[in-house]
Amino acid sequence: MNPSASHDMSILSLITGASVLVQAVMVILLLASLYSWYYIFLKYFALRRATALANEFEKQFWSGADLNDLHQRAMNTRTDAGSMERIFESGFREFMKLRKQPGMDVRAVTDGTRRAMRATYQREMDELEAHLSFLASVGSVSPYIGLFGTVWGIMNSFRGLSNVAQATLAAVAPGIAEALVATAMGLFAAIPAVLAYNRFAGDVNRLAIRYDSFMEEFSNILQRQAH
Amino acid sequence: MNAGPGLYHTRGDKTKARALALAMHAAFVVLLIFGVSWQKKPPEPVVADLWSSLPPMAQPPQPKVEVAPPPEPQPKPAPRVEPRPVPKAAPVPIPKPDIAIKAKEKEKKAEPKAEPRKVDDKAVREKAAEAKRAAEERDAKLKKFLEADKAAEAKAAAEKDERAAADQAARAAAARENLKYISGIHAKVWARVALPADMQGNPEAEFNVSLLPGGELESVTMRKSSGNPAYDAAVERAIRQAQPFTVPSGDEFHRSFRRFSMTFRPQR
Repeated sequence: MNPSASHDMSILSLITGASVLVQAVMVILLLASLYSWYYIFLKYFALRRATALANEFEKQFWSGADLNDLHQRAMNTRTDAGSMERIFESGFREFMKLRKQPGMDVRAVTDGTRRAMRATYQREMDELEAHLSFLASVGSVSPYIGLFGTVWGIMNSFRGLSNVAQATLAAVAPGIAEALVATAMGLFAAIPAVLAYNRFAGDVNRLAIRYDSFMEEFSNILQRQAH
Repeated sequence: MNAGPGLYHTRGDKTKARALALAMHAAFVVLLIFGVSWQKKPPEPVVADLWSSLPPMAQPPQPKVEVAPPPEPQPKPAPRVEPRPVPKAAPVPIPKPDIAIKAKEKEKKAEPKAEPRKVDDKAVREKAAEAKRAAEERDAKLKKFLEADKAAEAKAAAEKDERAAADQAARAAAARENLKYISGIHAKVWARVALPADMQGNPEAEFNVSLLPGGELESVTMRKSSGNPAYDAAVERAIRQAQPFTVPSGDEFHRSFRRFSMTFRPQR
């Protein structure tokens, strides 16, 4: 009723008052944010577990346990074994197979073992890096999506301004505030995604280095055994 | 092979992650709505009527008048509204301040009248006489009121003429005043014009200038080129540098300084 009281600037009225396209942008950003947080939590749990399992296996491995025992255990707990354990398992199995074949020299056995471990390693890395690219995409693209919504909303509010004789800030301000909500949402989706991506990429990298050095050390051990 | 997809992503983790993501967003939305003090509606302005005196006790005597059998020549709402001293509320057709004073005087007269009416409630005959007298009094008052109306109308007409003359004078004064402002602006701009070296003749450049209240420059566009682009550019630059200008405030600004044009020539 009172024209000056119509500038109710609560967040809900800003969202409901926005134009359809801006609202669509907001919905997209909300979904992006929801999904990225879902993957953030999922990835966080997965990497934490992967690190814990790698620690556990390394401890077992370097405590001087028998390789055959370790292999047996890895075969039994295949479903919830860590990446390092699976790399060990595939390498050791290949080593046993190759050693049984007659006429294989040491170099061929170690090379075969190494290739088998490398293949498992690639698969494990692929598994660990899954969904990280989604986080990277959300982090880099959602500010642009939000910006697009904002630009569109501001364009609309300025077009509405052309119908008003006296151009006042009060005539454009609500439209601009509505439009800026889109940018805010874009940043809200992007910032955690970028932070999480950097953190998880670092974690995956550290795990990869650990797996790599384990493969080298294990190859050395097998080579010694092959003689 | 043995590295099944989703190895580290167990079912329990997935539901947990989903729930956490939803909870995180819900918490953020709640914080946004209730935690941040958004600009809400400004408090409704309180309307207060100022009364020069207490309103007369019009309500208690009113029903008694209604009960009274004698015919009332006067419509009932009239006495109720008349004694209000505030000119805004009074149904007086002319918004003249002297009417308000009259109404107040009338109210003073009405007060002693209302008092006996209240006291003589039970004596019907007395009341009838009283009512008649009141009616007569009211008639007389109405007559006086109408006369006052006419006088006020005449006075208003005279005042209108007077005001028109005064307006004209004021406008002339404002124009003189504006001239002062305009020459001030012109001087301020001209002081900053750097004439180009190859200046020849006395070309005239005309610019449309629009200002913001307070004298800041909103925009400047060339209306008529002088034929010398360097000179045009110099003047335009000078206008931009010379702001803010001294301008009158309020209506006068909007009438004459919101948009206006200025001409600049090297020699006068």
